[in-house]
Amino acid sequence: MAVCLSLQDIRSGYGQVLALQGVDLVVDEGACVVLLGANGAGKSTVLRTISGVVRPHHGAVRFRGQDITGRKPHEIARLGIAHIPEGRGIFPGLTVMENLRLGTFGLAEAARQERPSVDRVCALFPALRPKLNDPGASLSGGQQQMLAIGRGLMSHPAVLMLDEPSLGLAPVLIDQVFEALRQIKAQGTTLLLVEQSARHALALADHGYVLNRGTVVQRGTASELTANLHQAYLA
Amino acid sequence: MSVDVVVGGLLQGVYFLLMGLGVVLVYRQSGVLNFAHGATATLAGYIAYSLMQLGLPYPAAAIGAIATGVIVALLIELLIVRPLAHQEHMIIGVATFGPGLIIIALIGWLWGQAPFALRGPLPDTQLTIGAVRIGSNELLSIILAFVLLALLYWLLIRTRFGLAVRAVSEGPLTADMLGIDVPLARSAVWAISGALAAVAALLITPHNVLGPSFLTDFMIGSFAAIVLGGMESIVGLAVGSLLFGLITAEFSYYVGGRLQSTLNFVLITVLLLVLPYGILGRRLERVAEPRIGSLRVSRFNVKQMVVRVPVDAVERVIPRRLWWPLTLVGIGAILATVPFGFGSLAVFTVASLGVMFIAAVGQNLLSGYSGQISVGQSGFITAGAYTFALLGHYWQVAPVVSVLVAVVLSAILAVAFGMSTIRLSGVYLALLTLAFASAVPEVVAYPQDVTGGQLGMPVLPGFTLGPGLPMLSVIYWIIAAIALVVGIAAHVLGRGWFGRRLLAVRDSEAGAASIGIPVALTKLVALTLAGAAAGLAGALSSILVGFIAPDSYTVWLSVYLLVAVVIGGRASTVGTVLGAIFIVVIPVLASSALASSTAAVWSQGFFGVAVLAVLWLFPAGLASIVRFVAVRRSSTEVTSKTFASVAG
Repeated sequence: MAVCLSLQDIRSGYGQVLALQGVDLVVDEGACVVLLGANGAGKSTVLRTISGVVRPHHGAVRFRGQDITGRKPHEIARLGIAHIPEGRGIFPGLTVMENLRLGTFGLAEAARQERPSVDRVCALFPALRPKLNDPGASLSGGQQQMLAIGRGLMSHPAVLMLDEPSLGLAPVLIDQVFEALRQIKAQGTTLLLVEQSARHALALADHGYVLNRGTVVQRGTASELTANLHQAYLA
Repeated sequence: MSVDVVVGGLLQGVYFLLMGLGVVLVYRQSGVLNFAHGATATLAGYIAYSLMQLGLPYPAAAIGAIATGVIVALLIELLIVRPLAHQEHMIIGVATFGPGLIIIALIGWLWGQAPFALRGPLPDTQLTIGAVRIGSNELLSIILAFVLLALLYWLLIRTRFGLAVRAVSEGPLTADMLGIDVPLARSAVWAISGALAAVAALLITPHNVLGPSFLTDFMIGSFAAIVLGGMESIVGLAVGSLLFGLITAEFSYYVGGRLQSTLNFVLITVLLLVLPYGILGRRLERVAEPRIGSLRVSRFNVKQMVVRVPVDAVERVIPRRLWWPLTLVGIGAILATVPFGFGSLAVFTVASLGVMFIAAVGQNLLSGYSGQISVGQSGFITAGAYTFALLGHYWQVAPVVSVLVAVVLSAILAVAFGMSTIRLSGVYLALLTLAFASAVPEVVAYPQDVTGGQLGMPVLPGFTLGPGLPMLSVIYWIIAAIALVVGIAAHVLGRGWFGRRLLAVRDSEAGAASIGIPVALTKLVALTLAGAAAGLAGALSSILVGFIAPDSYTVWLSVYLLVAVVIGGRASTVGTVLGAIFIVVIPVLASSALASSTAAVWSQGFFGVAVLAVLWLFPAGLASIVRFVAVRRSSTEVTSKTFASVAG
């Protein structure tokens, strides 16, 4: 299977603090990879380094063979890598429709297909349709997460990266979100997922990495990690 | 109500609208109040004037002016706003005073101070439409203003570009992650704002005059109209501008123009009491984003110097309990000897420094500690100065009593001001303080028979000295002693529980309230203390100078005091000293270093350059240059102390 995304010996962080101390990671085309680990393990930093929000001190990020290390976030977004940040990043003063339209800024051709893309998102998340003209601030947490994922899909990205999509959601909503992710994966989108809800994530994922203090301490297929789940979290 | 008055008022409103469009556009997008907008417009106007003098036709001159506006705005964005992007909006706003002052100085140098008459786009003819008589250029201004308003509205609300701009204003990092080129979107907005500044100059100045600082003053006047409508809404801007133009026209027709600024102030205060975000403004909501960018350091920044102090060794020579007393005695001794070693100009300058320091201490409590941006301290200074002068002049009150009354009255004024403004935040508070500072001089000038009106009045110290004692030295000693006491008091207050409360309120009002800090009361106390300090500074300053007039303490003084806090280092006593030195000494240096004929023109420009240099090199203020680290024998750093450690 072709490699979609790869990280090679990435050292990255904030100011003096080194959050990642040499991380190697591979995401295959069309696969779903999950990053697990305790708080502060460096999971979000991996996503931020890929999307260019954080610039690595060392190492290389490759997307389909192309070195994208150190490029700016909007340049990386335009390559087809959508990053849905922790906290969802919904623009509170813009309408739901406007938030969705902002998802098309990554790709010029996506702009021409605005309507079909909106319909596709609304088919995936029917709860958004009656809210299209309401401000983003009026959405509930679950609806905001749906909007964030929907906005990420608007540009038909090659890779969708999600940072804790289940954070703060009721169990029934977590199930809904993961069901949507399952459909997105089935349509061929590569997924890179940071998640605390390990059982949900491993049920969806093909592969997984466990991070601890900025290094990969365990890697394997989803079923291998499921078997060692306790070990991973108590390590 | 006569038709002409209504038309005149609407026209004035249209000019406010033209000036406000660029200001509101930039503010909406970046939260920065661009104080250089008026100066940018002025430069564009002068370029148009000179191009026409060279014989170019009007359209070519107008294009030249617009190009100038775009280039200047882009330079400001590139050289000032972008390097400071990770700073607070307050600091960026203060920084834009820099290019404003530089441009005004440049114009004075190139074209002189005498105003020109710029001709309008159309040949001047009087048109009569029904009962309305209006000039051709005035009518064109009205039409163009609304066309521009509609265009801007369409651009922001209907286009993809506008959507990108609005996204960038609510969440720059998120917009970046979605594929929006954020720096490009920001530059585009500044470029449009620069073009709007040029158009404003081309339409407003033919109806008035083209002078070096006319449009800057006009911009400050138009802030009232902007606030009235709401800073966040361009439709609100239109409503506020027209309403404000009409009200001021009616008022000046029936009451006269002598209390114009006072009317502005009362009008905004009452309106903001009811609608804290103006008629159509609203609280700008933002995406909660991780503060990753704030850790990035600008390439201009100079690295902090770390001085390691061997505490043990020092302690062996001087016991710790003597450190503070000895420091104070040392400072006191140095201050006391100044009149013996230097000439009267130096003594006067150091005394002015003391006065500025007292006012800056208040400003620091208000803006540095509690985070309330005020450019109105000159109003309280004027109030204190006039209180002292009037008490001594009419009732021969003892100077000690007069000073105390001046302090108390200024504090009461501050409480009254605070009661009506405590709900306001950010730019609304800042603009209301600006209106206050513009209103006070009018009020003191109004009773001409009592205060001497615009001509001012002499101030007597109220005490006499034995033979041989030089008056200036005695006044200097009094000011130095009071400044020392104020400095100590502010330092103790700032380092104690009250200072911590102020900082908590500054950094998170909601967080402070949740742990039981009375937010409104804390802010009010800071405002009151700042008002008292300003009143004290005003009384002392009037004794030192021996004369006061309504324009002795202008809005620019308020700006300088805010600059002192930002330049020195917020919430830092040493920073306040350095900031006060900066605002007193830099202009003196400038005028002594330059030839006297150009000094007046360039001193402000020099000041602007100095402000920018400090903000580029040391964005946390002068006090952050050196960091003292206490080193003990165990060689672990037990206590580390930065002058600006609280400033973060």
